[in-house]
Amino acid sequence: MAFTTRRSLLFAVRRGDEVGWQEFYDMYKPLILLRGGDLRLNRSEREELVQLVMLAFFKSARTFVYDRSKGRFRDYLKRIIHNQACDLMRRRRDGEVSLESVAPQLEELPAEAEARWDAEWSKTLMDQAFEELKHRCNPTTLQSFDLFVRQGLPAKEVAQLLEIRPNAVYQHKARVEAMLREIVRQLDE
Amino acid sequence: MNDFPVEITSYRPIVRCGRGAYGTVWLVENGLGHRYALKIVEKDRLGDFWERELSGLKTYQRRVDRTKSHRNLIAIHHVELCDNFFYYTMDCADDAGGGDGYVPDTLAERIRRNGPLPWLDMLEIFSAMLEALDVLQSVGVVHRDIKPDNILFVAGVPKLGDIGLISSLSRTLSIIGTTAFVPPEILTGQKKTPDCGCDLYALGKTLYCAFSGNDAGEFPLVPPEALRRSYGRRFNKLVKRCCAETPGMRIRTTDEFRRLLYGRFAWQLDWRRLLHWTVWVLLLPPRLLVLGWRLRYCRLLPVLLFCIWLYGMMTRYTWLRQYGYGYRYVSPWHWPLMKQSMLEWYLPWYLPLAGYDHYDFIKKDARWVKRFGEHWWVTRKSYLSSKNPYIRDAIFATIEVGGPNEKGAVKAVKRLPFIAPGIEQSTPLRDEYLHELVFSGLDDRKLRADGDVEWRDGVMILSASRHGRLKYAKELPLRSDIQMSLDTEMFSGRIEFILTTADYIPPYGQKKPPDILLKRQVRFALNSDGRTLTFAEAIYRPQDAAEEDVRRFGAPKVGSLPAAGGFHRFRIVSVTEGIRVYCDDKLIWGTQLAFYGGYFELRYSGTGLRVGEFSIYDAKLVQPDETRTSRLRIP
Repeated sequence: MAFTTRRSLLFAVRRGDEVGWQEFYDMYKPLILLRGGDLRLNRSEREELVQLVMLAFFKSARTFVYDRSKGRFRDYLKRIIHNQACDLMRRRRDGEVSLESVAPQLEELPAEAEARWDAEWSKTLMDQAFEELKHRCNPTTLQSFDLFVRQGLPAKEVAQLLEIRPNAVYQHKARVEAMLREIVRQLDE
Repeated sequence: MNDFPVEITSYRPIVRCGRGAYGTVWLVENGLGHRYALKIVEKDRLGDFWERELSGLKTYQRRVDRTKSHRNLIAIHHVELCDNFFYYTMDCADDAGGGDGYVPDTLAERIRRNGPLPWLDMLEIFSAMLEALDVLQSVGVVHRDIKPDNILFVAGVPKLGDIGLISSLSRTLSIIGTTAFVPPEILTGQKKTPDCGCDLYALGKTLYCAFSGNDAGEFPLVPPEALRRSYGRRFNKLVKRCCAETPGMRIRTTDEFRRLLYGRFAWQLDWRRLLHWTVWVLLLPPRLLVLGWRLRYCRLLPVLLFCIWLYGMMTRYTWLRQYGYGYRYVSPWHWPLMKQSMLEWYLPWYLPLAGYDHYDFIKKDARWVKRFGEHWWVTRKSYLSSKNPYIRDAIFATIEVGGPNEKGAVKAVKRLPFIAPGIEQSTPLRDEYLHELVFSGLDDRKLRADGDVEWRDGVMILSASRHGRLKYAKELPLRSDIQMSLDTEMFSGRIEFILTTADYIPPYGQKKPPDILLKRQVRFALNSDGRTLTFAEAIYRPQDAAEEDVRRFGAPKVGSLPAAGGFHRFRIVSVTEGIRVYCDDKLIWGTQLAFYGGYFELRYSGTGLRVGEFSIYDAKLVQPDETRTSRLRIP
């Protein structure tokens, strides 16, 4: 099951479910690595950052109760990454300063870094949304959407492949797009 | 090799095959040189889980391996408990690595190497897995870890392996197995007790991997290439049924899975049976040869085989024609149809129909031109056109033609739609028609008149009547030329020339002779006042047609004809180009309706009508190079 910021699934993460851990790791590792690069960590430090964030997240998730008033999950995750990166740099031995050197504060990060983060987050969000869609949607509807929208096949051909009416392909497209919008909205809040 | 425990002395390690959450698997060899897969389960590493593995092994040994050993289930050969671990040996998979070291031949390995599997391989593998699941279900256990990695090929036979997670149906267990192959209700904890449905779910996901080449996590997305073939679409439907989100929508039994897996090939459920019959059919010709040789009739054998082949070809095509065109009540032995099938099959370009007229029939879709005489069967769905310029623009109809005298013939079921004739005044008869005399005379019993008849100087005088009738009692030839001499100068009243055909429609699905008559009638009427002949009416009337459905032709362009001058020679020609009426060899009226055979009668109302001559000719078409015989004469 895909890990998302939905409340019910955070319960599953807090249980230490192997499923949630693995999905979480696969999903957010690129984001953590990206953020580590923006914070000027070297390669080994970035790998370590991934582990630290994962541990920190799941450690705190045991006592974490999701509260929407606290803000969005993306900000929460960003903050955890930044804190762990700061801890990582603090633990550096004296005199061992990386060439990429001192980590800037969150506010000091260049605008391009935020844009990259946003783009990567959107991609992650869409991946999560599509994973979530698999559980909400009829397989035929999803296949129709995938072939018609994502792979760009003509509606008539999709209808032939799935043995449905061509009109249904358009209906599936509209239906899935509406569901995707709703899921993305839920995930991003 | 250093990792191999020293406590295991009975087996020599060859290579380590894999390492999983539940232990390490080695390829080993015993003292006799037999190879096995040896799985080591470390107690410390697994905590309490090793007991579960051992329990599964015991269950499998107790319920399956001893009592119901099956060719599609992996066999456990030896189990031994040590201090820190326990191990067991089982069948080892074939080597798929070639010369690059041992790689177990599993379904996952095959998918990884070759992508989606051929459908016949899939049928073989999954029917074997279904048999294995049947065995497991019959003893009340579930596998719980079916996936492509756990389907092994031992000596080419697919076997369900990794039985470490096997448990009895009644046990409540936490989530184990590979998550993509575990039903969602188990993952979410809504259901605690695994059942056979979980195995079918996992098998469905495995089928998904096999036919799409994707990972199980990508379900239900399928590449379009996998759906281009019909079996791909069938597998797609099956997978969607197996792995539906709602448990109630899923396939529940192996039989249902098997039926959907095979689709229309469900009768071939037993692969060995299919193989048996395939080999049997392939070996039949050499067997027959051997038999023929032994019986010393080997010279006749080729003839016999040829006859069988010929009959097969004839009846096959006959049946195809019947079912294609809807003639379901005709036996495959129906000789005219067989004959026609053969002619069409071997002589599609020309049919020497001497003595018959021909049409050019153009099949609707195939643009398939053939020549037929009208006594030949043509399809109900044929669209008729002709190279004849006089009817080319008029006839475009759905017709069916059958000879009136042919036994079992099917005749016009759907009539020619009427199209107003655009016949030209100068339309001549075709030169190819030769006319053979069928009937001549006035006093023959075939010619019957209502009312009193007088004879004077060889002329038949029909008495004055309001409903007078002179009828030719016999059926007309298919193409007829009816000639008569009528004295219109002495007649005042109305004359009608009536042609009637009777088409037979047999009841649907019955072979018995036709008992329904469908009559059609063309009536051409003239008025005479002793000085001129004028057109009265010309109508076409199908049987039981309402008055508004009666089609009325307009007046011909010929205008009035002089009635004076005594006898006039009338000709009513009914040929395949249509029906024409001539007066003194001058065309006075025509239609492009084609009648085949039928009956003729002359009706009149008025003063006495004098008939000087009456004869009927059979209008026959001959090929231009045909020698004319003395029996034929051109009128």
